[in-house]
Amino acid sequence: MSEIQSDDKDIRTNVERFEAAARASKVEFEIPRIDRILLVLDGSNQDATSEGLATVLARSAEAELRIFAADGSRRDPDRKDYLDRRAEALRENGIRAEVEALEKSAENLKAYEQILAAAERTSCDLMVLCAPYLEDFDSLGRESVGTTLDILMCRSAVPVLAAREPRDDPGRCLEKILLPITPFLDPGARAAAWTFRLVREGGHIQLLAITGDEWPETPTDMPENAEIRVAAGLHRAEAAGLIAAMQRRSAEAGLGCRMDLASGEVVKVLAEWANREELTVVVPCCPRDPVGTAYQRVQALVRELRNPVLIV
Amino acid sequence: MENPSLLPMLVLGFVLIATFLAIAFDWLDKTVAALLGAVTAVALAMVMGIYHGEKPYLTVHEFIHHDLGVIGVIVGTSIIVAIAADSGLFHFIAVRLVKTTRGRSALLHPAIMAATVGFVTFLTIAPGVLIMASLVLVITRALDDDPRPYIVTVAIGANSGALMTFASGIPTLMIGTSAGIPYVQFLVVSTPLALISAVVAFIVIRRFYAKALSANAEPAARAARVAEFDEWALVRDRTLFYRSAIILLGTIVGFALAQKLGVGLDYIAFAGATAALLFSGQSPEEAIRKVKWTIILFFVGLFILIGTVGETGLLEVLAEGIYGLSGDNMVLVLLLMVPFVFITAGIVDNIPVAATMIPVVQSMIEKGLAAEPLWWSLIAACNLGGNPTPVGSIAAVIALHALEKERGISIGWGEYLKVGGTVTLFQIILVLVYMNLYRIFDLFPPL
Repeated sequence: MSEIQSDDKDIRTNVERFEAAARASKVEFEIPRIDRILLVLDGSNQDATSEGLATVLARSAEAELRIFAADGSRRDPDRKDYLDRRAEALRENGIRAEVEALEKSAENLKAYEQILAAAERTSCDLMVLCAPYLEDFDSLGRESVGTTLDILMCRSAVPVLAAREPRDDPGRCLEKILLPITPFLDPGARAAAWTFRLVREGGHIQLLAITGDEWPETPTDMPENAEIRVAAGLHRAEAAGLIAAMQRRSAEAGLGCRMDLASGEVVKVLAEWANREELTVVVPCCPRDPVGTAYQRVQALVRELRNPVLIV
Repeated sequence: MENPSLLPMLVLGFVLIATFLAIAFDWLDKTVAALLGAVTAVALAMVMGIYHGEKPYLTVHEFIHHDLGVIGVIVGTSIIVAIAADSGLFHFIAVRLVKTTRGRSALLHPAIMAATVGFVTFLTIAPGVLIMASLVLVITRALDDDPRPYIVTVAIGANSGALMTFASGIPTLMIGTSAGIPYVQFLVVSTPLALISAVVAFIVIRRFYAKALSANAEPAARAARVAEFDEWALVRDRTLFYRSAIILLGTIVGFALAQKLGVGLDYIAFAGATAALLFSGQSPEEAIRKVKWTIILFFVGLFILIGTVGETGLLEVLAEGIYGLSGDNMVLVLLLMVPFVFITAGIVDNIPVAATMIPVVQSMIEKGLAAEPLWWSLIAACNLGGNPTPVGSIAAVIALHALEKERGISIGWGEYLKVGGTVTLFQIILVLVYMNLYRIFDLFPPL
């Protein structure tokens, strides 16, 4: 009888996997084009990481970098010189880089307002900055993502790539991209597309399905088995379709793609996975309602992360 | 064995039969039954002085030592198979195969049979049946087909798959190890028989379920429903796909070369398992946890029980009984042994029957009978003997349980006996004819 009981779980898991194949909806996505990246510096010890990430992306996408620093940054007195020197260094490395000047009229605005204005002015496709902005990571980065990122997460029209703990070789973080799949961070095609945009050639995509009590379609009469519960959640048409599309696309692109299952509180589990090694996390933040659960989870997650995170 | 006394034979014989009955009628969990049988047998043997030597109890260790190779192969292959099955490779192949049939029943049914035999060949019965039974349940629901013929096909086809190679089925492994049969000989003797037996089973099932297998929707609609399956949703890790396939194939090649390399199959299985644990990227704890430790303990109990019963001389008496009836007429020996093993395996469970019959066949060989037809017939009968009843093999137990659990459809003993019994009848005839033809035309590779 014990053998049958363990087979019940095995049968359910296998059936759920085939159900996923049966129900998978067709998910299609275009990898977004990046013509212009807004690199937002602040003179903190995270600038090198932000710049490194933006450089790798600009090179792979053949995009232009616009370098900007909000009024109030640490290097404010010599901000112009600092940005010019960074732009010059980037140009010497073959990157098209220009300094985006701070408009006089924007000087009294908050940092996030200046950044949003610069993003609009430059028509950038992606912005890269550190979180917390205008602070060294060591000062309060472990406790807070800062007001600037809080607001940009809600209001930015373009994805925001936030650097966290300083990295010696930020480009390594783009060799592996982690995309969580849970109902509360439902990634959808847009996040999937950006995952492919970020990952370096020959890199690896890690899909992580996390179950807690959140899978809305998990039958309640199931045995308490994490694998089954995740499998049950994954047979939702859109989740299964997304996984299928990611696997197919990565096979075509010669990228590694692995799907793992985990169980527990979403933010805690995801942060634990994401902080194990150098990688970049892609999380959707939609709808961008600052009092909504999804937004608050992303905020809590970014606070826990030590690696860069792209908020789509 | 000198002057075997009657009392130990009767007492230990009773313990053996009681254990088998407990397994057959599900009075006890089969692992508990085997362990209880072993503990009781050892206690009785110590009291009755059945074990010999300076330290009689060490005889028990010798029983386990004798079968350590089998246990090693089971543990090693279980780890490899757990990782390979989890990679999604076989799920992916299964869906691809089903999609090539475009949902046409005339192709879908043989595809299910072929995939079952193929998967069991590489994955062994339990994981192979789990994948195929689950696929059948989902695909028949999508096509609005009756799942019963397909589930029965998986249940019966799996036992043919277990006959394919040395490591495809546990009885095959046990008998092959005891007989010292080289892996490659299975390709000459066992594989063709497995394929023919699968064809026989397929024809019987197809005739039995002719009406249920007729498609109930337009071919275009069925093709469209099958085409909707997206096999990429089953992929966990493509790299793991390739690695699993390479390790699995490498292990099979290793099995084939083991004798030449001078190592045991258990070494090859452990080398493959180590490679799988190293390169799969999966948690070793998770993979090792998937080894069916209940089966390993079942074996330990069974080996001690059978070994102790063997010490009483009872199994030799059984061998003498068969020899006394048949003499050295091999046709008669096979006519007695093959149906006996088929029937007892169908009622009890093929593993204890194999464990009991191994020493019996060894005794018969010691009496001068040719080894090859006896060992190969035992392998065939033990594997295919699980077909007549719904509890005769682990394949039938898993497949029918899945059908009932997932779809609420049960196949009763009457229905299963009709189809399984008919298949068994033809397969008994097939085994007898096949073995005798091999014997007459001297096709058995010498052991």
